[in-house]
Amino acid sequence: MCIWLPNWPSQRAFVAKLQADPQPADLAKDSDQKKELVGPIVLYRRDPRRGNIVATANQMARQAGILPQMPLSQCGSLCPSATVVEHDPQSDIEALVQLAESAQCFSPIVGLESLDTQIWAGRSLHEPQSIYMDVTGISPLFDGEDRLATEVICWFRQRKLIVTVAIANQIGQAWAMANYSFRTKVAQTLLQMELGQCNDSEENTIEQPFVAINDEAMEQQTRSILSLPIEALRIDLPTTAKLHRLGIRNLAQLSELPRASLPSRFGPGLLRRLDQFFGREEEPFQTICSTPELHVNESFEYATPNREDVLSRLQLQLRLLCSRLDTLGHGALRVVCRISLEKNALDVSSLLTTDTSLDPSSRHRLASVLQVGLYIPSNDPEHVECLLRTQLESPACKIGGMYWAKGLATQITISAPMVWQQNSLFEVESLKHRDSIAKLIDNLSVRLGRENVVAPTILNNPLPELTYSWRPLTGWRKDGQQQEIKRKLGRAPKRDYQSEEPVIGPKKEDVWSRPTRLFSPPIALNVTEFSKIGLPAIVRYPRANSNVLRWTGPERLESGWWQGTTQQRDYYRIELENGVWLWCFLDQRKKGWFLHGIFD
Amino acid sequence: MLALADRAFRIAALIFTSAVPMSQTLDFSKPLQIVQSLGLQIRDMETRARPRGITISSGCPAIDRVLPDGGYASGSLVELLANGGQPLGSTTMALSTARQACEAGKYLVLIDTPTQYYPPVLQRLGLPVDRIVGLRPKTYEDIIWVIDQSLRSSAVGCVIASIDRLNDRTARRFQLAAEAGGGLGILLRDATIAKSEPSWADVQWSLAPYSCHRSSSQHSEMDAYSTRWFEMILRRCHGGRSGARVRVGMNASGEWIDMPSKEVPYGKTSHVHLAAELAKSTRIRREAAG
Repeated sequence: MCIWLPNWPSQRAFVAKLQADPQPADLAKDSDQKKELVGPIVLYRRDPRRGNIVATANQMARQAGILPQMPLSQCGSLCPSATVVEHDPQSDIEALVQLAESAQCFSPIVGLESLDTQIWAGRSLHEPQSIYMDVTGISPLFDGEDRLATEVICWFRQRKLIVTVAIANQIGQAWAMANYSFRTKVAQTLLQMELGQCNDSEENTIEQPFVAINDEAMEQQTRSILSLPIEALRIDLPTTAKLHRLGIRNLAQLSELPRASLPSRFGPGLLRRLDQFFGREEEPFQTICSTPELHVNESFEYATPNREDVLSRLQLQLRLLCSRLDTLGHGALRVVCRISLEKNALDVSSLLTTDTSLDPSSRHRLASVLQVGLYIPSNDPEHVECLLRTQLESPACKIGGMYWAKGLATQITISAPMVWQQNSLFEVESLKHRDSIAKLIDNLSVRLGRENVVAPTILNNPLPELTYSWRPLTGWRKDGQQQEIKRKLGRAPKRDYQSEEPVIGPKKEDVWSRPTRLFSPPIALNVTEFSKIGLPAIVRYPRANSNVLRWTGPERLESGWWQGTTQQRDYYRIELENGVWLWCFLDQRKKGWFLHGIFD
Repeated sequence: MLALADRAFRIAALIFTSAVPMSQTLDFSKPLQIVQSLGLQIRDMETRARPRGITISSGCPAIDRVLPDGGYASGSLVELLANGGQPLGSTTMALSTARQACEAGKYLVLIDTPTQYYPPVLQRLGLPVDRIVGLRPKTYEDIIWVIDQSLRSSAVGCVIASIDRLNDRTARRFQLAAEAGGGLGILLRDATIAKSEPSWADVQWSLAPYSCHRSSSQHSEMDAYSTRWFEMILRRCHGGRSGARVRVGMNASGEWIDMPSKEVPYGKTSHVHLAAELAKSTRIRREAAG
């Protein structure tokens, strides 16, 4: 099964904005109310050549004329009310992985689509947008493939996500059908969702896009498969352009070409994709789920509302998994624990109240998913249990009251070899504290969220606000390699900034050329009086006026032509009479003074 | 009246010395010796939970000179107060001390809600960038929890946190956490709030506005441009010279420079705290009442 999340980055931004600014329940339910839920959303990215450009946009923004690859500066006139958000591919993939891990309620074998080195034709972003699921032998459990697909679509719809689903014998066919069979319908559904006109009832979801390719109606389906465009083969842009020049638009035309001539004319990639599509070559996919020995599943004899019971079973499972890890010489980097729930039939209150957040069709597959990422590989069951216990005891975990736990499945989705040896002779001191700091970081990440436990990275950019970044500690390996994206997609990191010497920043001979604290973005400087040469003479900071004692500068910093809007700034270090040192600049374009940092 | 006070003092000393065995016999005719000995014993009792004999240099020799053991005791809390949250150098002082605290492969934890620390400068000040952890707690409860957890970790050499409101229970919690972890906790606080609240910090510095023109005769024009000067007042220190005023500067290379003039004008004659002040002493109440 292939589940395609069309325009995944903008769907994620839509959900994030919806959660940040929830609509009143009565307004959301009112079908007559045509008020839009979040409005147009534009995601932009920094292009090295063209500056800030649109990475993707939601349907409302697209209707206003905003298209991917368009300069961001043009969007203001086309759609002034659009919400502009920076595109974050790392978070997109992290969210997709979490979604895939949670979707294991349908099948234990779940994975993301694997990307090629080149972007596929028909896609504007080089990041995964589909989830693969092995549903071999599973459909009878759901009363057929139709019912299974409906439940999958309902499950995603509860999370305010629109998907298209296709089931086929080959991954290539499923991907092609999911991605290219419902393009028009999907765009309309996305727009309805953004306008708040989507109805979550089951009747509506039955009409959701789903196709299954089975043996019974093969002849009829072969015709529809062959009518798909050649972009459905997941081939790169140059090959697609070459085929288009030859007048080959769909798979039927392509399949008529002599097979022997394809590699010499279009490279080996096209033939491989064609063979994978027609089932002549097996195509594996990399799953996010663990190997069988790192997966423990258990169904309780009786459902229980007590978290302590679940915790005791979790302890046993973790001990078992950690002993297996110990045998392998590995440690866990990511642990996913899935608690199956059922609605308590004896709870009278549950009969009286109707839970609108749950679809009736999927009530029997309720679950709470606990996900934990670790800083360094660990096979200490007590440590992992401590992290999971924090999540188990949080209100987000729904055990108790109406929902009773009936099963528990724990798996280690990412493991890595334990690092026992020291890398150098002089690393003894840092090794001593390694385990201790790892436990602290894991604990902090669980409570604060992994994006709030960060480490600094020095980057090579002259603009002060782009000279550094703070990266999450638990999402990355110690050597700077990302855990989720790079491991799962098998792509090597482009650059290892950790091992590089910093080339930008204060020079060795001048520690006071940069401030200790930087405001990002810069704030307007309140200049009360200017001197004869046009520099600030009296500045109001923080709350009272103070004379400028002396200043150092200017230091001209300009952004590159390839970094979007040109920045021309003349930086000055201003020393005030009250002992405060400020780092401010005169923006040559805006002709205004801005405070960028303080020497605290 | 004086004779009565003297007798009471000698009885107290006798009771105290009988309770705590002493390595040397006291000569009761010398009150100074008694006071010193009692001070040592009280400090010994107060700091029993901390690692023995380990002091962390502040990185600045002039500051170390006014501290009791030539630096901050390991597992202690330090408060740096600045009036109205003005940038008078508290971050630089804290980072300089953190450099010393993280020398043995330990980590530095920076707790700042809007992360404003500028990493290139952290690197320039000699801090290990690969051993810096930045935390962004969202709520006040999270800030308290995060400081407590970080201080308790033995791998953390120094925790620098910006926090203004602090009740005595939370402050005591931090003190116990610092003693357990053996690191150094540096709290950057607003003086207007912190002065009205009790403190459990072992050392409390107040930063005063200081600009170079006030003593222009002591500095060359080049120094004025390349060196930043700080004025610090030691408000509170166990066994240290409370009230001491220190003027130091950091040059462009990141090295500390002493003020080439007489320093500590009245610190030598100021009173010496033998024991920690009570959480809510009458003096604080009086100050709070105005």
